[in-house]
Amino acid sequence: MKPTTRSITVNGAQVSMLQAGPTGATPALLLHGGRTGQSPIAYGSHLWGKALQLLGADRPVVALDLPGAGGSDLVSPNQLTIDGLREHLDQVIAALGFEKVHVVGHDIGGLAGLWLTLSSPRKIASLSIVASAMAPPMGDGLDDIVFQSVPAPLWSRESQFWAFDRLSYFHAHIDDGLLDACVAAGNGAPHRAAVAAMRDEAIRMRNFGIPAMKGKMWAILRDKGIGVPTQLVWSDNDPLAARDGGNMLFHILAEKQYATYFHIINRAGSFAFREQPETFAEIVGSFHDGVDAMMPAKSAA
Amino acid sequence: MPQINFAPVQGLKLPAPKHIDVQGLKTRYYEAGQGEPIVFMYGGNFGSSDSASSAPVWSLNFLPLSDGFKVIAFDKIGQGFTDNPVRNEDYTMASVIRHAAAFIEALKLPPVHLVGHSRGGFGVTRIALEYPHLVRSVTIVSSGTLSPRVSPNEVILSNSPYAPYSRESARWIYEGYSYDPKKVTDEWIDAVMEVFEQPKYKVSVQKMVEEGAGARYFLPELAKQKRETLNWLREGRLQRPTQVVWGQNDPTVQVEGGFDVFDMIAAHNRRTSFNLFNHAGHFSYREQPERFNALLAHFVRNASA
Repeated sequence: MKPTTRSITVNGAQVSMLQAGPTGATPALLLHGGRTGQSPIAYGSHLWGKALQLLGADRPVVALDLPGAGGSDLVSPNQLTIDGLREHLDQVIAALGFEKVHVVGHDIGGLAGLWLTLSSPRKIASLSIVASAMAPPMGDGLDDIVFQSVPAPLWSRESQFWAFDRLSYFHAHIDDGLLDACVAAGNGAPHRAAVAAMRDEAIRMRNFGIPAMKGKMWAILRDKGIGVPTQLVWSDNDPLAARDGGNMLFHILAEKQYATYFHIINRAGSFAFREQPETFAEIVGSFHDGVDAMMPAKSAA
Repeated sequence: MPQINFAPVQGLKLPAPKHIDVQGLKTRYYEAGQGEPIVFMYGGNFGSSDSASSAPVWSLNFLPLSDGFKVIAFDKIGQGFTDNPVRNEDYTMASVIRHAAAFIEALKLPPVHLVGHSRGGFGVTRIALEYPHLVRSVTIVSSGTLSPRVSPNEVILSNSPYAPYSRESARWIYEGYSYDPKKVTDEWIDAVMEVFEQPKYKVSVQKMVEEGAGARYFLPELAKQKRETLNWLREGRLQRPTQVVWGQNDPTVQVEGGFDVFDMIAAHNRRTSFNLFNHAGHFSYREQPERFNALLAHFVRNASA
């Protein structure tokens, strides 16, 4: 079944999404990555590709466009922070009528999912953090040079191909369908609004509110831990999210959450869901099935 | 995928065992369900008087997965209810692997999905290397035998404080292997006691320990075969979809060894994944059966697509 586009209105703003899969089981909510308005890739629900259908084989799956990406309006620059995103996601989950939902977040979407789950776990059945370089502790890291020399003009087809190529193990997944969708997303009004917001130095410097949020996040993880089954899905050849960081985050989460898992997909970069979609869906789909089987009463909703 | 309830159902019993002649040895196995064949190979080895694996150790996986697959759990040569090796010099891992491969061949199945735990993880890897025509995919669970690192299991499990062949001893061993001692159920220990109570099992202990087959044949042959196996993996000879499953809290196998096994195989084999389970000791498939069953079902489905 091909995914279909759907839009809803939340607080007067349009929220766009792709959806697939039969109704019945606990749905999955996919959160894309990227620093909206800043990343050299115009991220959005269109990135999930074939994984959306594979994950939707047995359950409903919704892939959101986050505010300022794809077809989703940017209401205020506050939505370009982790706190703003968390609030937005709470509202979207309520608007979609989900009682319970399996959250799957890639990159910054994984960190947003983590923050959402720690802040309001009630509706979260499970969390999958996918190739998220920003989620683990940073320590005194090195400066990030992966995107040091992005070709101009930004968000052109060539520039976005270059960025995907930098982050991938193999470039075959960077096809016309992906680039067409990314160019369209880059030219869309929401993305242009996000780019405009990022011209403000004060907004740029707050770095999506990540440093401010992470201090609070570590305190919660130290003291209480995460309340739902959580897995990390890393790739063996990711230039951004290294195994070391994933392993450390796994240990932090595993300290207090028994159902914590760490997976590594071979021959994939930052986009395992595109580069190895079958293996990605196997790991994420089996997690959803396994969590549903562990908690049949809770996931019946 | 057909709808499978991945959670074990309380009180459900294994079907009656079957028997087949393999290399002249009466070999016990359990079989249920239809579909892609999955063959389970447990760990341990013949000749232990304080613990004993047998096919029912897979009960929490065998029954739920029989809803969507043909599942087969067999007793290895000299273990469970399968006959002992005839000659003392056949008390080796090589003979375990020859017997297991002959068993799979005797069932006349299409290539099977092998799931091996601990020494059985080494076994299924070896079968995939030596008899690739019998194998469609490989799942390696917590195998210190396959890991290139030192395993501390002798530190955790030596000198049981309980009498040999006793319930208490078996329980002490499996609790020592586990994250949550409560997961060592009476049903599990019952299966161990049934094995202990057979005269032929005591003969295997006599051969391995008193007559010295363990020191003379089993361990030195395993050491040689392990060197060869690690070399073969590093050369890229394992050419079937492979997943490595490890327990984060296994007191007897280092997690780093699981990463090493993954790295050796993944270097040459695209379809390789690593899966680490929290709150799971050596027997992740018994400590987290729902999660293990779902992972295995999805893996097998993809590997046969």
